[in-house]
Amino acid sequence: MIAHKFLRSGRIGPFSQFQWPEPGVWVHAPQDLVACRRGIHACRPGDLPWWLADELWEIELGGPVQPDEHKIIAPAGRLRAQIEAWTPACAQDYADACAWRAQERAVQALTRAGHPRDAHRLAACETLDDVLAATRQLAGDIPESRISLTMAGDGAFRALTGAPPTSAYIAAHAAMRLDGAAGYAAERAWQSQWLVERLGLDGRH
Amino acid sequence: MHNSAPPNNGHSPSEFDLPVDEVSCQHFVELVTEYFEGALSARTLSRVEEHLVMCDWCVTYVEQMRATIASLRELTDERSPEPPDSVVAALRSRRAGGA
Repeated sequence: MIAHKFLRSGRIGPFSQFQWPEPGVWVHAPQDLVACRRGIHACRPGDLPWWLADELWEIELGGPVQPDEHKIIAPAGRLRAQIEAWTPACAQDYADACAWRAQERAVQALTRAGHPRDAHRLAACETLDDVLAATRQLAGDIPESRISLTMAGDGAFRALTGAPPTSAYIAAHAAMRLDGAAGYAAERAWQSQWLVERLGLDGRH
Repeated sequence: MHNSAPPNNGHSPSEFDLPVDEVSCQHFVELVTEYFEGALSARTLSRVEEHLVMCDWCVTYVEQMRATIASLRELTDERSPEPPDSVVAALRSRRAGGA
């Protein structure tokens, strides 16, 4: 099975600190598979937004693959090729896209709360700096939309300060604020699709 | 105890409670000892790792805790030196005088 895996710079496992060998070299898990403890962990397309890191690799998994929430686990794996399109610039674009999604949620929140002029003002922002300033002001003026506005502002701030995973997290929670768990799931699915399309990944597996 | 409990279990409901299964910063701080001891369930550990991907503050906290633990491990079991005989004698004399 072909999947994907995020690693820190230098092919380092973010949590295990495991130094992955050169592409093509098989790595075998020592014992029975246990999520987050033993096994080769990798991402299906829908898992990608949860595990962003410096490098993204295509990985071939060997043996029976065990599905888990937000991950899959296999007894063996080998890196195939680094996804070169996942660069710091691409990660920043992703962060920006997520921040704009959070802004859209705040616009929706204002509209639902009966503040169309403020919604229009926020929707008209042309930069994330503008979003940050507008949401901070509006959050103080419109208590019933304060949380959605604060989330949008935080999303913009985290994107501006270069934190893609955090922007994505905030966008998902901004969606959940409006539409519940289904909104959260839909937003994570949108984020996954953004990555699949932008990086040219195979979104089927 | 953290196997299936939502992260906000045991806390008062608030506007920031999470209807999805995630670990918050507050909950992570409560779990950090078990995290370092490897005592978390797989499910909770997964939630913790998801949280650490996106939370710079908790990553910093983990690094600080890890450094503290490493420093404490460098401490030796050597006992403090015994006080000089003159000090012991003076203390005994004072104790005997006050009795």
